[in-house]
Amino acid sequence: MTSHAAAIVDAAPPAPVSGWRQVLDAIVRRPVALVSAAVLLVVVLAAVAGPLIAPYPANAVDLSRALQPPSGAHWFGTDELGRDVLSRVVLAARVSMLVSVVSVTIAFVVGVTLGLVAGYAGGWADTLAMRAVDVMFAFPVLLLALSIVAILGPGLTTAMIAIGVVYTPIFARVARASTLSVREESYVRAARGMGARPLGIIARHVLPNVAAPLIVQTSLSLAFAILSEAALSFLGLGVQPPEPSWGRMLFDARGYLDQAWWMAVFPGLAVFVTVLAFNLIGDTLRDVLDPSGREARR
Amino acid sequence: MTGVFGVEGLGVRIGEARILDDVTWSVDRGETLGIVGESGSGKSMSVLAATGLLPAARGLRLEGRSWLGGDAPVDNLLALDAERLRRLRGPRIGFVFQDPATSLNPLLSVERQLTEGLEEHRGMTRRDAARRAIELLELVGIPDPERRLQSYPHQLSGGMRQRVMIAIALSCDPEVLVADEPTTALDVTIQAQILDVVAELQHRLGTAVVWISHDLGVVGGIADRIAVLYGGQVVETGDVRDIFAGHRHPYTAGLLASRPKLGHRTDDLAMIPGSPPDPRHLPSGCVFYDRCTVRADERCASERPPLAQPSGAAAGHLVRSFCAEHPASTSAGASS
Repeated sequence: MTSHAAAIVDAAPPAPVSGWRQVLDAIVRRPVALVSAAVLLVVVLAAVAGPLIAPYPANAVDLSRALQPPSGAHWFGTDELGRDVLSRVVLAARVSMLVSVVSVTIAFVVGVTLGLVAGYAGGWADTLAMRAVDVMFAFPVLLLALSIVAILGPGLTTAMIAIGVVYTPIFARVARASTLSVREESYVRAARGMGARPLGIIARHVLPNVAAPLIVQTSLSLAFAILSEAALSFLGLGVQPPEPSWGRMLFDARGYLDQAWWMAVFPGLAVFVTVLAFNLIGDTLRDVLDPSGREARR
Repeated sequence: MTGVFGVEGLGVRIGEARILDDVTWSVDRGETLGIVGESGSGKSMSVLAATGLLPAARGLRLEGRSWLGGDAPVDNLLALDAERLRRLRGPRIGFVFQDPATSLNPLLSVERQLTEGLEEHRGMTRRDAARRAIELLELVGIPDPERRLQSYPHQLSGGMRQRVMIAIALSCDPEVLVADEPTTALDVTIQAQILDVVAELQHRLGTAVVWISHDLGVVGGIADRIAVLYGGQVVETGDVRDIFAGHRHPYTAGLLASRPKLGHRTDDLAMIPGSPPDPRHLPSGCVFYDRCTVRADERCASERPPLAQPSGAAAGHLVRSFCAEHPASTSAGASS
């Protein structure tokens, strides 16, 4: 950006251009990314302030109003117990976001730590960690999550732990792959030449330089975690009724597909739109954070 | 052993390959040792091996020892564990590496990188370290140091980055500065500036400098003594004057003949035909045998010559050749 200007010795250094500023600019410039961001904002808002937004309480049972189609009073219709589907979809956002954020945080912290240390240390530590990751990759995601839930028992906490464990290997692998190349960079060698501690080098020099692929992976994993949570809840292993959850609502709608399509369509749409938004944001971040597309770096 | 830093009989093997063999050199306070050789001659290797910076490799074996002198001598760095060795890098030995464009972390400000060693080894607070960092930038001749401290590497020119690297290397007052081809990636005018900066700092601080380069011309300008490496061995070592005017080894002669000379406009530079030996299959005789045009002794092909002082050479001028007894002029093997 200003590299040729900075080459002049006496020129005042330009204000550092923050990387986050660039990312924000890029998102604003892309309509798809902007819409995705807006959708996610709405979902987050629903998760945080759901009870204030939802027109009815989640469990306001009113059998006289059961299975009503969408109307002015109930935009998304009502379910078999007369509960407002819109309210339940909005309130279920909290569970979905909570599970996906907590589980991805677990996966990120454990996976990235494992990948960074394995990649930087190399040798037997690397071999051991990566073979363990390979073993976990060999299991289908849902099967692994199901086994963990089977061991720990169903519930919200278990679902978070199960999904977190399932997505740990992907973070470990991404972190390790990037670490292997950053490890060979001259600035890492220079830091070793200055006697920096190995953990200090990992935290100060390696982690920031492998952040880009990890950020992308985080956004994609958030999407997959929402899907996994919906799947677990659909199977009755996630959030327990009557607490609303998108997966559980889909499960309940199963028996009424021919009488009340809205019971299945709206929670399904919520899952679809949220997952799509996370994916599209992930794609944008991948484009923006790709160093070859960056001007100011070299 | 006098001096502040050196290696003795240093050998590095990786599996079958003999990367370094019986390498000995040392550097004294305020002195500059130039280590010269072409790519793969082991010139960087000897320093990396001596300071525990070699990347781990399967089948890596080290021989000999490396030592630190001065007030707190360390008899053998190679025998230290990784943690104790780490604590010597920075306060005792500083490094400047070849490419200033990649030797600085692109995501950290100059301040963060300059203060890293000070906080680690000197236990300074963030604020004290920042104050010291300004002094260091002044020391290496960077104008407006307060503002430069907040700059990121991409906002600096190549010469400035290398000055920052030198400031980092000197931040903990090391006794030895190891400069591994620090000017190779810079253009000639900047190269001259960097040479001046190092020479001046050395004069002021009394730091010993190990200057590694493939460029005999650069080394000749800055070094007090020179060690010429070839095929992982020291083939000739001595004072700068001895090497330039009284060299005895055919390889040194070839290196000197292959320098471009000002005012001599020739279409092709003299070169040493052939390529360096494969470290896995070193010749049984002299390591330079394959490319040598002298081969004046029947032992050249079969026997490894010792590093010895030839008759008539100055003290400390050692040559590893059976052909070293001849005056330098006749062994100018590669002049064309």
